[in-house]
Amino acid sequence: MTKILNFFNIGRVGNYPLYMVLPAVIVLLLLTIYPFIYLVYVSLYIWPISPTLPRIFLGFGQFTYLFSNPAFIESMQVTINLMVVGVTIQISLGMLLAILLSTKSRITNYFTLPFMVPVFVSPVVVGLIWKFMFNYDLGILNYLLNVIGLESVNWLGTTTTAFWSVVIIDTWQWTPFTTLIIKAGLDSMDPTPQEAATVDGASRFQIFTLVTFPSIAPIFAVALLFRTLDAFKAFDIIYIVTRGGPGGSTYVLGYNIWKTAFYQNQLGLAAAMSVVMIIIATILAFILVRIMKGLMER
Amino acid sequence: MRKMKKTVIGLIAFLVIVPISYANALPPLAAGSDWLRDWSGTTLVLTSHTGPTTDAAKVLAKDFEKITGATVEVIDESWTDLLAKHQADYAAGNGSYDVVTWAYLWAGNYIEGGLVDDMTSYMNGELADPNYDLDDVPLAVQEVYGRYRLASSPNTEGLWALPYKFDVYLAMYRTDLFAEAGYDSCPTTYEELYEAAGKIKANHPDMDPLAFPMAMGGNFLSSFMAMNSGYGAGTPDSWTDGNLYPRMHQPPTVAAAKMMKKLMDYMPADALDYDFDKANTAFAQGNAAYTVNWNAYMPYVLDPNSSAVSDKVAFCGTPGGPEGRYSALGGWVQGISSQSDNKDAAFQLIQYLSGKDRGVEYAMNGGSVARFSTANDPVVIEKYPFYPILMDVLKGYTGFGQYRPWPEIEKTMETYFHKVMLGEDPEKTLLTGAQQVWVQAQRGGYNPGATGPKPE
Repeated sequence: MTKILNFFNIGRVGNYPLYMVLPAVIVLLLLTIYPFIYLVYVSLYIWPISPTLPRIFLGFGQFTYLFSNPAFIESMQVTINLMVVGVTIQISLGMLLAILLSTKSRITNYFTLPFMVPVFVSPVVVGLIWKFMFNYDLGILNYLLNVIGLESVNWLGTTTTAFWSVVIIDTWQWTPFTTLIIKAGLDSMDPTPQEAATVDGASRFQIFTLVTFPSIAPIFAVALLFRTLDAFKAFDIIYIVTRGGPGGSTYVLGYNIWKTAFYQNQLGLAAAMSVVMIIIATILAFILVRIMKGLMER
Repeated sequence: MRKMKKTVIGLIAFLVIVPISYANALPPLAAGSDWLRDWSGTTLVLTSHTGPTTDAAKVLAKDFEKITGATVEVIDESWTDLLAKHQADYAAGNGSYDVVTWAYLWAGNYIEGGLVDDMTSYMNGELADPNYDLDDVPLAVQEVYGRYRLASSPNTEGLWALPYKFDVYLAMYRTDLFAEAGYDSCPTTYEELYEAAGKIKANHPDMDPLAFPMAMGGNFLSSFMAMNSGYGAGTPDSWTDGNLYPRMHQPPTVAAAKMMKKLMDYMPADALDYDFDKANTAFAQGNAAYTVNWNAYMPYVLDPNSSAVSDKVAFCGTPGGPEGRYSALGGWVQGISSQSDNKDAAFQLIQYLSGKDRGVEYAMNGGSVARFSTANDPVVIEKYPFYPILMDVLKGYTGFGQYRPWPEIEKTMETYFHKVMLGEDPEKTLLTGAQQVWVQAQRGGYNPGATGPKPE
């Protein structure tokens, strides 16, 4: 026993910090690293869910298949398009609304809380509400368009409109979230530099681009990070509203993985897709964190 | 000495045989029943999908409980999640179910996956309902629902399931609008349907006369299946051959896809978002003159409380193409869970639910029954006038694939058919789809290469 203790230098005071982080490391290993390793292991096989069916080792054959499979490539494209378009709109709108809501006024105080409601609603409920609103014949959106003399829009019936419908829903639900984060950054800002710039004769645009934005840039980057990774995992809205259609135009990676694993009975292939998804998400997160760090150091 | 030896052997034989016989003995017959056993103390778990048929099954299950003393727990869930839940439960070895219900198009996953047992020995055994009468079930249903004849089947002659919910794709049309357009019966070909829809549109410019389920998730293929066979793609599997070699790029399917695209001229602008519910509702609300759907949706259209057209609706088979007129066969089946501890009781419950003696009661409670005796019963016909048509159209039937990769292949085919419906070139697009199906079949462990190389 003493030998073991000596081997690990248990009594050494210098090792105490390591012991302190040990529980966290164990939890991390059990809950994150082990499942990931298992996921990679499963991804190397043709692995049906049914235990009686044979599991065939393919090695990286699953990944070769994935990248030669037009449906997977299309699914990746849809996911990236949805993420880029959706997050750009949400962040831009969020910034604009945060500036408006940060204006000191009684009206904005009343407006802030109701504005946040979409964030609190379950995505399934959001999906159902919008599915009704997008209905070509009975939906309120087409009714309103007709009232102002415009033609009905085939929201969920064509590839382009279905894609944009999903963007609209995602934007409706998550713009308040980006607004909330950016507004928190604006509210916590020291007003002195802005006042100094005003005294020096800077225009509003100059104050925003040269003083305000650099100050809140790290918080802006946090909002961007959260939303980018979240949009990359899109599933629930697609499941409720479009089921990936029409013609695969909204067949995002998250939905593809679910369908492949639990409907198509191909756990191995779904695991390979998940590995690809995790790698991409990690690269994205890494880039965004680096940007965030750079902004904070400035 | 010899006498003692005999006595010892006799004693040993008694001690061995009696407990074995006792253990293998069936429970006594339930009181007042000539085939159901006393299952007191047994709890049977039946997993199924939500809907009127399962509601009707619950009523019959209560009777089964009263007769046999068993407890029947019916777990009904959305059909879209059922396959995933069953597979996950079996993979975990939970043994949660005794009676399993599945759509026959998932047969490969249940039978090859070992989720259910072969029922052949039960059908010939003492537990079987003597009045079950399998001949009362249409042959098409027996074959498609109960057999699994691919080379990969554990037993090609096995009986894996009995009918649970009978689904046939029929057409519903508005008699008043068709009469106004000069038709006294429903169209028999898709060309005739196209022509009729044009006339109805001319009479009612605000109406989109055709409401077909066209969305992804099985809707499109259900609507397209009979058309595909009608244009010469084959039957009962118009999607692939026995080696799972795809047919979707071949001239008959291309021609059928072009016909479907043509029919979209008279469908709503968001036709590709129409699922079974939406198409049925559009018709029931009077927004369409003609629709196709599974028979399970038809009681809704006949009910004046839910339908504005209940007194103006008539039923017929789906139209035909140049190579004949076919009807799509769907449906749900029930089998004995391989992980059940109560297989004997489970078998009796399955037979009780689908038995001949209870067919009429089942149908009148909302169940969909695949039996001639039920379909020809005057009481049933009075309430559900479409029942005789179901049996009639089965003379020419076509179905889904049943093999394991079917869910993946179904998704691929629907995606590419949708692309054609959205205006892409049918030949080129369907060829790309067929190439994917070929690879998916091969990856699923089947051998499309035995028929031919990957389509080029």
